[in-house]
Amino acid sequence: MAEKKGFFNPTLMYAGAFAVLNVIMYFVIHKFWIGGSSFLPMVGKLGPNKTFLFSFIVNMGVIVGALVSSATNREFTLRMPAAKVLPRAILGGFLIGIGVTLAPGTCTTSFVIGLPMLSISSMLSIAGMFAGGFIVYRLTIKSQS
Amino acid sequence: MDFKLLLLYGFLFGIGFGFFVQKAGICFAHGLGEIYMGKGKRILRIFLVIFIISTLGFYLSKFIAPELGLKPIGQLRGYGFYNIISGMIFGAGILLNGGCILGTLRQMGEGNLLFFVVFLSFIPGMALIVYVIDPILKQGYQVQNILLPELLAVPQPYVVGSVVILALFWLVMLSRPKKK
Amino acid sequence: MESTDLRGKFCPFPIIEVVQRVEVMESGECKVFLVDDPLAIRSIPEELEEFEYLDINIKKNNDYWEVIITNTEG
Repeated sequence: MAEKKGFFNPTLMYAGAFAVLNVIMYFVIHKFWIGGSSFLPMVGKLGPNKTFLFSFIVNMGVIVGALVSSATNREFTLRMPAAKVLPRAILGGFLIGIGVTLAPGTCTTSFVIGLPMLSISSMLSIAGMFAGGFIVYRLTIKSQS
Repeated sequence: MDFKLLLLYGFLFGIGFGFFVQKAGICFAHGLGEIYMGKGKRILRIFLVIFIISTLGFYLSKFIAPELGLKPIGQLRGYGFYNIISGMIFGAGILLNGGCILGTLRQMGEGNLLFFVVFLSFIPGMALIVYVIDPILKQGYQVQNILLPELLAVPQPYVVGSVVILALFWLVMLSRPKKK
Repeated sequence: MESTDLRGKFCPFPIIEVVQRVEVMESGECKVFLVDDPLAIRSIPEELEEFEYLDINIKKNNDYWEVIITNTEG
């Protein structure tokens, strides 16, 4: 596995490459990666001049890119979920669906785009994320271990 | 540029994003878990690298084209109240199934079929807000979302410069090997 | 060699479980964790980077990994 020491470990190099690629997209086609709102086409909202549809296609590319990368690392394995984990996954997905729509730009977009753009709404969203996540952390993860 | 070409570009960029996200192993659900456990060094370093490159890139882009530059992402809804609430709901959701948006997409690409279930269960949540809650709330986005420099009434270059230097300093502090 | 099966567990539970068990390991002890999340095999070595006395090696089986952690302190 990759060497982790110091500053130039692969994780940071690839994270940097992700950011550079996003900046290049912004320069080239004046658009950047979007998270939650990109799924709104699934409920019939294509967004102002179809921005959400565009981002949805970008995120379909993200799935393909992850597939290609995991295949090259020999990390791709089809895994069927056990039935007993489905309720929790569905509830999590349902909450994510609410969270990304109640106030646009309050999801992973805040960490990756919103905060670097110094947008105030993203700072508030991240504060909320820490609080909401901590509640679930205490209730579920702490009690399991 | 015609829309179909734009979609093709987007898809190709997406493949690049997915490739790097999978190689690096970026997931903020995992990251939050690390931070709550008091071990947030890895996700902080990932976040700081992304922050430094993106902030500089987004800021400098305005010298290339006037309509680029820093943009207020998302809407400040209800004086920010709904941003906090939806952040809480989102944070709870990602810690429940262990996948933020990038994490979900990454794990779908890695063959974890659980995340196809998660992906599909976004739909009822989104539909509930878009078709039920939004009309009720009707509270528009009357508060104009702003950027930090506007809030502080300090010119952008100074704010961008100082946050980037702070982030760089923090990243270096986190990355220096532990002296025994 | 005590082995803990963390496959299929919701992230971030595996990393938390590993770190908690590793912190209480005595010298010479060895623990094995079975994980199936590619992110786990990246974050476990990085999170335990500060514990220099730990020797971590990761064995890939067909659809999961064995993370073998030995405490070489003292």
